[in-house]
Amino acid sequence: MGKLLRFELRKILRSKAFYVCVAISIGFLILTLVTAKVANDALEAIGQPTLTLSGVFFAKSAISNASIGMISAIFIAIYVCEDFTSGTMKTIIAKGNDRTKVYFSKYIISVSAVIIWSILSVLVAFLIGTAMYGNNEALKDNVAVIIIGQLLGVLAYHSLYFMISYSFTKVGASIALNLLGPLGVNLLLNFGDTLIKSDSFKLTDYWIDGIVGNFTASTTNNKLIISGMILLVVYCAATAIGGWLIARRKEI
Amino acid sequence: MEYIVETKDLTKKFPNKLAVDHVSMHIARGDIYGFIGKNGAGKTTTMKLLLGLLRPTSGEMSLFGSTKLDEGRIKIGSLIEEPGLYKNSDAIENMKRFAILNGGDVNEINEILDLVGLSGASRRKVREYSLGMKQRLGIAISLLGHPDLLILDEPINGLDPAGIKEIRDTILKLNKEKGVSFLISSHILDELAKITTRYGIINDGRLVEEIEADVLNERCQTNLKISVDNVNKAESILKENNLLNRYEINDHELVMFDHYEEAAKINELLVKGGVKVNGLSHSDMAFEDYFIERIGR
Repeated sequence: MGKLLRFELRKILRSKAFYVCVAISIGFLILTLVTAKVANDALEAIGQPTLTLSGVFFAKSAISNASIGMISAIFIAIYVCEDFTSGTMKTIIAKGNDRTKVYFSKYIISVSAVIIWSILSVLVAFLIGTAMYGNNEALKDNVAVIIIGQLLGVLAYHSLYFMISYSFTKVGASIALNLLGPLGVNLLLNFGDTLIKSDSFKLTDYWIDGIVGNFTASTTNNKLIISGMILLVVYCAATAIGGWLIARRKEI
Repeated sequence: MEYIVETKDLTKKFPNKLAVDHVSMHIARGDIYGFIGKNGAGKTTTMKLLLGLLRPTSGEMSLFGSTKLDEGRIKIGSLIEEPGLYKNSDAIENMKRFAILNGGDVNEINEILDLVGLSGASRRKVREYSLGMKQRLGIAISLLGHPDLLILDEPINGLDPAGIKEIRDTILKLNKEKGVSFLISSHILDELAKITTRYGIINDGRLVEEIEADVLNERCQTNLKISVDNVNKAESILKENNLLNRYEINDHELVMFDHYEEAAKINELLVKGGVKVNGLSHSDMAFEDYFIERIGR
């Protein structure tokens, strides 16, 4: 397993796709920061109440502002499928490497990369936000819970994208499914909510987007936060195991 | 005899095709095993089964005398279908990545690249390589970690004549100097015939025959072509002397499948009988004929 991890690590460190995705993501984040300032200045100019901007404010929303969910859908598809489309997976398996170890070494390295990418986004947002607006102590409540919750959301999406990409092994199909699949689930659940018409129970509260959204909402209670975190861990585990079950039977 | 690859009734069934049908194959240490068959005969599928890329439907396999297949596969280098390469990286980077898995240091990498004739292009991106260069890099990667057996699927596809010769020389050198065994499939029978020590002929998923190269050569060379001015007269002279049993007549040519060792005597009889002999030669086309005969086309 050590050799496979070193192999995957070398690959990701030399992957242009990874650096391009991270750069785009940070670019989006900085654009959001600038847009927020322009919007706030415009509100101030017409005498309207403005948002209380600060480093912490941007750190809390960094993961969604950096579009990590969307961009990682593309990156994971490229990273996972490359070995199948280029034929290198044949060389790896033919050398007697166990499929389970190959799957999890790829999983561990890619999930580490996405976590580092997410933390980097939070740090960039915090540092630039603080430099531009200073800090507001009042916004510091729940910051750790919100960021950890969002990171769990990123992990859940990573596992889902990883499973989809490992199943389809084609870059184009995987990108399309990674982007459209979760969106489709969201739409279906929204449709379900409109049929249920309940204020106390919403299907979307149990899907990754809804759970992550609840973490940042000021009205969310602790019970919903804890159940959301547990559910995200379940999503992570279920999709990682699902992907593994597919990988270990996969013929190349 | 100890076999490094042995299969018994190896079978692979896809939903709509029986690709490999009860194949029992034997490769001994030191063999250069030529695996012959037309397109879709089951060569690549058999190789993939040996390498664990596909799961057999039934049957048994052993590698290096053991049924612990993944342990055996560590000693195997392979090149199946197209070479698996990271196209946005250069040859050195590709080699370094696979050296982590297969073993091998910088010196070995340089030595192997030199061996396959890629040391001058080792810093060029693989996507800029020609098909032949990619093929050679694929072979280079398969050589990492000093494998005891190389499984090469159509390794000379896309190579120019010089490239084919380089690969042939490399295979022979590795076989003779380092004792590396080979399982090679190829459509280019003449090329295969130059290096193979043992053949396996597969057709419609069934291993039709395994035959030593010496035996095959013997069978194929019992074929004497005599070019004469009067083929009917030659035929009657040889029949009178009980020298013509299995034969064919093609225009002015008499092809004999026995008594080929008596070429001098045959020549003398024909000349004495007034037949002008324009040429006497052993045919080297019989290998292809033999192959076609065995696959029943």
